[in-house]
Amino acid sequence: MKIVDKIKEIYHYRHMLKTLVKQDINGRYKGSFFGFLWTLLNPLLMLFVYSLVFQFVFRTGIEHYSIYLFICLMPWNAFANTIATGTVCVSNNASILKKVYFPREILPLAVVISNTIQYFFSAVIIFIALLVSGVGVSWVAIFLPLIVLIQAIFSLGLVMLLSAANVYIRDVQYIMNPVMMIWMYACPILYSISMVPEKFLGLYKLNPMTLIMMEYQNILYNQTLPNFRNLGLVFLGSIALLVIGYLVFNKLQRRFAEEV
Amino acid sequence: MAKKDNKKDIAISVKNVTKEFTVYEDKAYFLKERLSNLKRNKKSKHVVLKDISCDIKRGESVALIGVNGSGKSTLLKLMNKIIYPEKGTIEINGKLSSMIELGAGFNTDFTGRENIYFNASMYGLGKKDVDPIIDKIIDFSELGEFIDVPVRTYSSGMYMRLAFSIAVNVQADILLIDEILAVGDAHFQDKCLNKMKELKSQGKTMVFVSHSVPQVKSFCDRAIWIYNGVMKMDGDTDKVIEEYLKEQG
Repeated sequence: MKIVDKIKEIYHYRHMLKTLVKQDINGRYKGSFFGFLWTLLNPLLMLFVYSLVFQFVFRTGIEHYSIYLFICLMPWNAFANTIATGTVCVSNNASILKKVYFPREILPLAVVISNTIQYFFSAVIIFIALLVSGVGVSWVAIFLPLIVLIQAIFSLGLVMLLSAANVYIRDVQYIMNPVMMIWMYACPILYSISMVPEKFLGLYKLNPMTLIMMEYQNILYNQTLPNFRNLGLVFLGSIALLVIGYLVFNKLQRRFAEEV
Repeated sequence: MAKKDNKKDIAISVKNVTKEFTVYEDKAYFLKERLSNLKRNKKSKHVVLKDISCDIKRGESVALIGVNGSGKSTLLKLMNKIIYPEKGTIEINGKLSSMIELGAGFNTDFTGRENIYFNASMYGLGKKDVDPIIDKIIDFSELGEFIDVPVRTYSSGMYMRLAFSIAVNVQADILLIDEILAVGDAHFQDKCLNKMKELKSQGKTMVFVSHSVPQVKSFCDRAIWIYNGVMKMDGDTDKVIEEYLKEQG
């Protein structure tokens, strides 16, 4: 199927995509008293704990460390959650896959969109924290959606690869737990990139998530313009990954209903 | 020239379709199992459909008949693009609604009403498209006040009634129906049959898998008899049924 036809078809099924995203957002906290408020309460509590711990117990050399941590931890959590739920999004929907036709790409797409929307909600807390802590917010924060979009494209490509692979080899969903943990430490989230030894820096920056995390820090913590060269590189890489992910997904999806 | 005109009238075109299933003795989901299974080749190919070709015209009601395991449902799933053929092509012209498994994709934590919207979205209908027909769907399902109760509390009959009501009301051109009229009480079955007859008179195309000879006879103009994955007979319902019953007898 040509890519244009595929996009048309996904557009035709946009209502299903919308419902899946809504179900994911509303369903996550369904039955709980605070419901959707948990999307905000969770990061708020997390921030509170970090502030306490790093203010009084664990001193670091980074100024406003809890804010520093928070700025990257929120998007990282969104990313980690996207990968965790995205990897199983096809294999966990066996019952619908076997019985109903719909463009299968809807499933990974819904996971990425839902997590991106939830990140934007929790970003409200980031801005409140920035203002309250005295770090402040600069106009360069308007680039936040651009960085989030690039992260979403990167996630989508990865999720398409992983979700399709997981149908055939279930190890993928288990291997991703340690991989995500290692990956997190390979990004400047808990520490600053200035702590990375010079000789590893070249290698270190090959990690696309490192570059993305650095841009969050640039616009929210350092309050400087994003490094557009790096951002552009990550964007191109993400598009390439998305194309590969789509091709693999498309090739493997013909047998989803039989293999899942 | 004549051929070109015909193409528009064809709703489903099946050409030389062969479908094989890989049967695993012990399916390896994990890498370790895969690797350890490499040497012992525990899978075998099972050919479900062999070189099937048929054209179904717009407005036709076609029954697929045959004993269990002959490949009828597989053919229906192929038409629905849930699975894909190893060889051959299937072309569909028109909007498709399938009743292969009713209520697939219902989210049981959500109410009947919410599920109507979700299920309809799988047919490409948005809220705006559903709002004008939702009363019709609820009426037809006879669920009354239960429509606002989570679907997990439904009985299987209620579940099926809701699903059927959605599937027949989404304004599809082609309906694929797999043995679903076996569920529900006599009253609702009659209602379904009447609804299908109404849809038929509106010129909808229907493909119908059924073991009920009276239903097939009263409903379909054409029958295709599938035996062991090959088309044994294709033609007028009465003739095909007669031969089929002879063989069965």
